[in-house]
Amino acid sequence: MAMKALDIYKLLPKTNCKRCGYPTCLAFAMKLAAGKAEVEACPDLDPGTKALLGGATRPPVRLVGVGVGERSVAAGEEFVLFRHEKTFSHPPGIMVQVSDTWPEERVRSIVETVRETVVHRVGMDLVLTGVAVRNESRSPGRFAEAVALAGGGSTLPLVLIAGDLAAHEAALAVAGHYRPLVHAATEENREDLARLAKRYGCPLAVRAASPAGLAALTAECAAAGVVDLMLDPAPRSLQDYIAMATGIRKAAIGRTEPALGYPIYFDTTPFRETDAALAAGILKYAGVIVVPPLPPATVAAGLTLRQNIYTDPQKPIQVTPGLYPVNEPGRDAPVLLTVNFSLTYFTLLGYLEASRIPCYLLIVDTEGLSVLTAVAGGKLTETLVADSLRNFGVGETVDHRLLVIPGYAAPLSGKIEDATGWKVMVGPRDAAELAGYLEKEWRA
Amino acid sequence: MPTVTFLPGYRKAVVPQGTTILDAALAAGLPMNVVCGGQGKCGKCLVFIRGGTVSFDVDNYRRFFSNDEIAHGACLACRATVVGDIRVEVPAGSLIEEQRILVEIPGMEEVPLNPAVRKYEVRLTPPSLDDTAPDLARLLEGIEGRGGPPPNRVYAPLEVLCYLPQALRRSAWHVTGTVALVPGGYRLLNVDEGDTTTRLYGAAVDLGTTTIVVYIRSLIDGRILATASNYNRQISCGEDILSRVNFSQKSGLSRLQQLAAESINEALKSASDAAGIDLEEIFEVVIAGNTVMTHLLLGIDPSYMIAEPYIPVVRRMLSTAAGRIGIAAHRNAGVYTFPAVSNFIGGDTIADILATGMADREEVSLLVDIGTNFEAVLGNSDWMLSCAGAAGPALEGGEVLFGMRANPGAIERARIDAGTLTPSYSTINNVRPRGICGSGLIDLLAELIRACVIDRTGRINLDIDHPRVRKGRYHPEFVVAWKEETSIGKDIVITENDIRNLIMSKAAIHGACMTLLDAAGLTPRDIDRIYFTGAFGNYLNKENAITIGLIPEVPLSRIENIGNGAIAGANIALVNRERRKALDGIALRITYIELNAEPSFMDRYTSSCFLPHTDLALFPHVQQMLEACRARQG
Amino acid sequence: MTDSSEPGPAVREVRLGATRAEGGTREVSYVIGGDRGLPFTGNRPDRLLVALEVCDDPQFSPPVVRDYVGDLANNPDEWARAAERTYGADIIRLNFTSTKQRGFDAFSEIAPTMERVLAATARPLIVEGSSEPELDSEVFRRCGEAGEGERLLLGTAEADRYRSVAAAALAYDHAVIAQSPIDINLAKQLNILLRETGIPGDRIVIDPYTGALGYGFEYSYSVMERIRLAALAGDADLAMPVISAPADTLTVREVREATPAEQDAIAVAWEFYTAYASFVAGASIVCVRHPLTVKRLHEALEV
Repeated sequence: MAMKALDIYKLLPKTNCKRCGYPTCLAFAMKLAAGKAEVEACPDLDPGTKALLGGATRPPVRLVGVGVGERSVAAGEEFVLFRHEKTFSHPPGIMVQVSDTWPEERVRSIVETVRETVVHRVGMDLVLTGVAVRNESRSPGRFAEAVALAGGGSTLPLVLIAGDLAAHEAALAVAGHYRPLVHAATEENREDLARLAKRYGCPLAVRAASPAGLAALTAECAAAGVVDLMLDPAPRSLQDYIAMATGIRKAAIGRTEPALGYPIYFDTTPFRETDAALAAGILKYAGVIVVPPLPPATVAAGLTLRQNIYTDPQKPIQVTPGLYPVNEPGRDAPVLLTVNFSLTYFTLLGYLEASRIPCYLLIVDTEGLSVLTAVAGGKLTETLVADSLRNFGVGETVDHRLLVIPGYAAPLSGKIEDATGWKVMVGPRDAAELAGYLEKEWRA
Repeated sequence: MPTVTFLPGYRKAVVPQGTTILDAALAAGLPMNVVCGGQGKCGKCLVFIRGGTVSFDVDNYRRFFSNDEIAHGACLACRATVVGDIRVEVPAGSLIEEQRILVEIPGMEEVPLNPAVRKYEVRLTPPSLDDTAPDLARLLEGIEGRGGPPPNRVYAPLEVLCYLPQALRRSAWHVTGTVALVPGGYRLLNVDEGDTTTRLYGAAVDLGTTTIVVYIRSLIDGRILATASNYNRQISCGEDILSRVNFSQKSGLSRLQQLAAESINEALKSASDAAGIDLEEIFEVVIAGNTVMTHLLLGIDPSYMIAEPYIPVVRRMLSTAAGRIGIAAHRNAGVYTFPAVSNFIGGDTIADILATGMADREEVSLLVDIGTNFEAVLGNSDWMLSCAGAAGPALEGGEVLFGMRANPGAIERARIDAGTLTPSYSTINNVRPRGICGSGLIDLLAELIRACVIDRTGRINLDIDHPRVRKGRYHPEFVVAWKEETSIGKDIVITENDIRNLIMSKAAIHGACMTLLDAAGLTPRDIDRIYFTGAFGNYLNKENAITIGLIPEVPLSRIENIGNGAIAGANIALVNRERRKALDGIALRITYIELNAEPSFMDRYTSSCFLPHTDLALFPHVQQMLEACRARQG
Repeated sequence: MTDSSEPGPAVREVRLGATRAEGGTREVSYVIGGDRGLPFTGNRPDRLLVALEVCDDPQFSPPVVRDYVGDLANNPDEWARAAERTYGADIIRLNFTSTKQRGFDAFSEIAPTMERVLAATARPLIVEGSSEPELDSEVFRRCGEAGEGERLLLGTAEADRYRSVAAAALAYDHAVIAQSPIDINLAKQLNILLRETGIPGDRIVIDPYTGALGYGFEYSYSVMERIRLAALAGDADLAMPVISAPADTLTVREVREATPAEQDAIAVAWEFYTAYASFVAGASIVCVRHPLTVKRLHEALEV
C-alpha cells in the first residue's frame, strides 16, 4: 500500500470520534499507512473509500499450511522483499527427503531424527519440520508404504514427491487426511493433480520453468478450486533460484502478478552444496525447503540461520534482567551496568569471559534496546538503575558502592549518583575496551 | 404597535407596522450592515425570523440565500417589513464590525481586543411603588440596556448579592458591574459604586517549572501595564517535575499547590505595584503551564501520571475562581488554565501554538520548544502532529564543562577566525566571561566545524599544531578564552566530551523533527515556517543552528524566534475570548507521537548525530559552505 | 526476471593487489564491486573473494584453527603459503594479533613479517594492523610502507580512530577498511569522514561489522542489504564494496563446546553459513579462519 498517512487522512471524516480505537483520525491514518490497522475499524467510511483504502490489506503471499497438529507448518503471509522493511513472517519448513527405494531401517532412523532433533537457542526450541517422500521406485505400492513408514503425516508434515498420478493416489489414500503437500502439478498433469488435491483438500505445488508458466498454472488450479498452492520454479542453479525467487516475491508484493502470490517451494537435493542451497532458501523467500538427510553441524547452523533471519527486526531479543556473576566474582568485584539487549549482553560476556576478570553484570530492563538507544529514548533512566540495584539485591552482594556504567550512558552519571547513592564510574563506549579499562581503573 | 425583539441580545423596539426591520434595528441601537444603503442590492443585512410574520418578497431576493437559509426564515432586513410582534435573529456577520483594538503581544503579531470580561456603568432608575423590580433584576436589566447579556443568562454569586443593596443605595443607583463570559453563560463578578469602567485588568501567566512570568494588561484598551518574573517556589520541594510529583505523593500536594499560588502572587504583586493598580482590580487570569504544573496549581493529584499507564486527571481547559485556589486577584476573577495534549505536551505548548498562529493557517509550520526537554509540533489548520523527548541539559549549559545558563558572564555569541583560530565573543552584560551558555555553544560548534578543528562527529583533530588545540585532563579540548581574559582564573575551554553531548542533544531534537515529517509524509522543503521558543530566549543564531543540524535546513527567512511562547499565548487567550474558546479544539486536533514507540526515531537520531547530518542532501547549503571552508583550509 | 538489467549507478569498483605490470609483485590483482543490481543477479563470481586469516601471534587465534593447522600457526609466512596453495584462498588476511599484547612495542618486527608474507604468497593481502589506538600511527605506517606498491587493503578505520590508517593509505597508495558498529548511518558517516581526509571513494571497503551467526548476525545481514539498496538508489557515500569479517564466529559456545570429533565440522558450518549469507546480502569479500571453509565457499559459488 503506497498511500501516505496524510493522503489517507484526507479521505477520513476528521471528526476524531475515537471509535476506531485511536485518539485522532490522523493517528488512525498513520496506522493504516503502516499496515497496522484495519480500515473496517472506522464506522463512517463509505464503501468506495473502504475499498480504496482496504484494497491492499490482504497478504500478497497467500498463507498455505502443510500438515496438521503441533508440527504443522504455515508458509506465506509475507509483505516485504527485505526483512528490514518490516519483518519476514513465517520461517520456512525444512523437510528431510527419503526415497522409497531405501531400506526400511534407514527411513525409520531418518524419520526419528527429524522428530527428535531439537536445537535450544536463546530460549527457543528449533526443530526440523517434516519429511519429504520421493517416489523413485516407480511402484505406487512401495511409495504408499514409504509414506506410511514416515508416519503417514499424522505426526510430521509430509511432502509427497512423485511424477506419477497413480503413485500420488496410493500415497494420498494413506496420508490424505493430514494435508501433505503434493508435488507437483505441471502443464501436462495439472488437471488430474488438481482434482486429486481438491478431493483430499491438500496443498499443491506447481512446477514450471518460468514465472509465466507458474502464473498460468496457479490461475488454472485456482479456477479448478485449488487455492492452497506453492510455486516450484525448477531452478537450474543457486543463482537461478535466487533470481527467480526474488522476481516472484517482488511480483507478489508489488501486486503486479497476483497469480504469483503463493509461497515458494525449493528442492535442494539436485544441488551438490546442500548448505549453500539451504542457506539460499532460508535467505530468499522459500516457504518449504526439501533437503537430503543433514549432518548435525548443518542442522545446528541452518536452524540458527533460519531463526536469525526470521527474527522481527523491531522486536530485539532480550535477556532477563538481573545480576549476573562472571568469572566467579567476590564481594569486592566490580559491578558493571548494562542493558538487556541480547547482542550487548553476549558481546560483553564474551569479552569479560576472555579477560577472566571477576565481575558482576547488572542487567536492567531497557526492553531490548541497546545502550545508545535506551539513553536517547529515555528508557535507561536513573530510576530504572536505582530500582534494579534494589530489586536484585546488589548492595547485599558486594561490599563497595561503585557502579561502572557504559560510556554512552555518561549523561546520566550525575542523576544515577543522586538517585542511588552509589558512586558512578564512566566506562568506555566500546565493549572491547572494557577489560583494559577495568584493569587500569578498578581498585578493589 | 408591534414589538420587534432582536436576538441574541434581547434588544427591543416598538415600531409602526410597515417599518423595515432595518429601521427597527436602528431604533433598538443595533448597527447593521448597509453597504448598499438599504437598497436590497448587497444582501449584507441578512436576518432570520424566529417568531411572528413579516412581509418579504422572498422570490425577488432568492439569489442572496441558500435553500437552507430560506427554510430557516431568512430575509433581508432592509426589505422585510414588520406586520406584528416578531422576534428577529441577527447573525454577527450582519452587524457593522466593531472598531477593532489591536493589542500588542510580546514577540508576536497583534490580536484584536475582545476579552471575556467587561464592565458596564449603569445609572438606574430608583425603585418606587410603581416600579418594584428587585435590586438584582434592576441591575441586570440596566446592564443589558448598556449592551450586556440578557439577565436570565447571568449568574450572580451570593456574596455579590450580600453587598449589592447597600452599594446601589450609597451610590445613588450609579454603579459599575463587572460581567464575565464563562462556560455556560455569564457571571456577575463584582459591583462597584460609581463609574469604574476605566479600571479593568487581567493577568497572563507563564507558569514555568523554574520561572514564573506575569503580564498585567488593561482589558479596556489592551495596554501592557507591567510585567514581573520570579522563581517558582516549588523548587524547594524538588528541582524537576518528577521530584515534585514524588513530593506530592508523600502528602505534599497541598503544599505544592500553595507554593505555586504564592509564586504567582509574588509576581502579581510586583507587577501590580509597578502598574499602580490594586490586585482586586484584576478580574481575569489566564495561565499557561505544562500538564503537571497545571495539576499542582489546581490542587489536582498528578501522581498517576508518572507510573504506567501514565494517566493525567484532566486535559481540557479548566476554569475556577481566583479565591478558590489562593490567587491574589479579585476573589471571583476567572482563572483559566490552558488545555494539554498529553503528559508531555502541555498547556505551555498549546500556548506556544496559539502564539504562532499555526493552527489557523494553511501553511505548514514546525514549532520547536527547547529546554532540557523539548517539544515539537508540526502542522497547520488541518492537522497537527506533536512529540516530546529529552534533549539533555547540554543546550542549556548542563553537562558541559564550562556550560552555564544565560546569566551575566555567559559567552552568548562567538566566532572563530578560520585562519588564526582566534575566537571573538560577547558575554551577557559584557562582563568578563565565566562560562558559555546555549547560544554560545551553538555558535562555537558551528565555528569549529567551519574552521576544520573538529570533524563531523565532533572529534577534535589533535594533529592541528596550535596552542588552543590540546589534550585536556580527560578529553581533547579547544581553548575559547585564556585565563587572563576570564573572571574565574581558569581557561574556558570546550572539550570533545562537551561537543559530543551537544551533538547528542541536537540530534534528539532534529531526529524528532524528522520523525514528525516522516509521519506526515513530508520533507523539510514542505516546511513553510519554523518557530523557536524555549531556552534560547531572544538570541539564537539561526544560521549556526542550521549549520550544526539542530533544525532542518530551510531558508533563514522562514525561521522565527518567538521568545517566550507561553507568555505570548497566555496574553492572546487573555485579550481575546474567541482564541481562548478555540483552545480545547486545538488540543483535540493534535495527534501525539510517542517517540519511544516509533521505530524510525532511533534511525533518525543516529543519522542526526553528525554535523550537520549523515544525509548531506538534507543540508545542501551547509554542505556547500563546509566544502568551501575545507577547500580554503587546504 | 532477474534484476541485472536494471539501470542505475553501480557499486564502485575497488582494485586490490598489484601485479608486476601494475607496480607490485602479486600474481593476480582483483577488482571488486561494480555491481549494478542486487547480489547474485549479475554473473560475476570472480568478484566474490574468500580471504583466509593468518596471524603473526597464534595465541590469539581460535583453538579450533590452531588444532587444525598445527605447526603452521607458528610461522605466518608458511601459513600464508599454505593458505594460498593448500587451502585455495583468494586473498590472505594477515592479522597482526601481536599488537593485542599488553605493552606491545615490537614495531621493528612488523616490516620483516610483512616482507616474509609478501614473499611467501602471490595473492593480494588484507592487513589488519593494530587493535589499540595508541599503536595505530606506528603500526599502520610500517605496514603501509612495507607493502608499498602492493595495493593492500588496510584495516581498520573506525569513527574515532581513522586518521592514522587513512594517512598510511594515502601515503603508500593502499585501500582502507571502514568499520562501523552495525549501523548504516554510522557506516555512511565514516565514509564521509574518510573522504574528507582525501581517501578517494574507490579505495574504501565497508565493514559493517559482522556479528556471529546466532549472536546478532541478522543485524549485520540487514545492514548489508540496506547498504546495497542505498548504493543502487544513488547514495554515493554508501556505494562501496562490503567486506564481512566476523570476529567471534569460532569462539561461540557451539564451537567451544563441540567434541574434538565434531569441532571442525561445526566450525566450518558456522563460518560457512555466516560467510555465504554475507555474500547473498551483498558482501564482496568474506574472511574466514578455518581452512576447510574456503573450499566449501568456492564450491558453493559454483553451484
